Amino acid sequence: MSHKKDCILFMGYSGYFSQAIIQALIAGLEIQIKDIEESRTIAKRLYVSFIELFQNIMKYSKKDYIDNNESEKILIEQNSESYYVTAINNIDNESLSKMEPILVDLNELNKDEITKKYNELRRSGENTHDNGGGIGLYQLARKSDGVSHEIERLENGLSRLSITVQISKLGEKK
Amino acid sequence: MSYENIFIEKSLHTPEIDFNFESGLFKIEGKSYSENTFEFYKPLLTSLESYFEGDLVKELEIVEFSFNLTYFNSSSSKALFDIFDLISNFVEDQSDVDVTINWLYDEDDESSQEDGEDFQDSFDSLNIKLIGI
Repeated sequence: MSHKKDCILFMGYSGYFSQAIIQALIAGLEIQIKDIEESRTIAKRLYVSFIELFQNIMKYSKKDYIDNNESEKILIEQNSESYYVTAINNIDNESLSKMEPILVDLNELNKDEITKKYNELRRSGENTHDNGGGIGLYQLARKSDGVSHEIERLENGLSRLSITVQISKLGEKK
Repeated sequence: MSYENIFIEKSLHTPEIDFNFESGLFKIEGKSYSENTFEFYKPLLTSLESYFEGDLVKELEIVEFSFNLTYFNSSSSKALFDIFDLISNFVEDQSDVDVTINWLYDEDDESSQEDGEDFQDSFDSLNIKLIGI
């Protein structure tokens, strides 16, 4: 995944994460995307990445852990080459211990291997949203040009997790 | 056994469902990114499973499924996979009823085409028609 250089904010949200909010944000994003006449393939990848990361926050960021509304956020940034969708939230270390190996895995597998793993998980039913979130992470990798993450260890068994998905504006996916 | 046809209007985050058991025409169309995907699809899966095991479907020559999904989240993807799995089992277990599966996609959206190809790659017994519109 390339570094984020000279990025500007395309869309950002911090606050309460719910299904109602995501519907409103997606509706707004669709209008904004249509406004700039972005390609439908890139638009679709943006929607899918945004939804997957947003629902990941809904699933794993427990309200009990939130000190203030700025604890959770989702951003879409862009530069001339790519969009970057980033989700930042606190997560308990037990949930993180299931996600972290998958996030590492995503950087070591090629597209075909990721698709193979994704289809295996769909068939087995393991690591669905109700049970570990893994299939969503593989979905993100399939629909993007790279998934990176950062982890900051916090107190009380928590960590701050940041996941960034890159969607290239330049031709075919890698 | 009779079946109640299923029609569910599309919402911002759930697709239109039009399941007509008597005619053998099944349609899923729209966006699918509900938070409770499995609750939405579970009754559909249960009905389809029962339908494929019953006698009504055996009276038909053709059963047709049409999928036209703008985009969907990963848990919807799993639910769709389960639908294809039921269809695949039915196709493998009998040869009297022809099963047609249409995967409709925006021809300017290669991502949607890839989704259809992925389902095709996962089910050798199915012939999924990829139709750009």
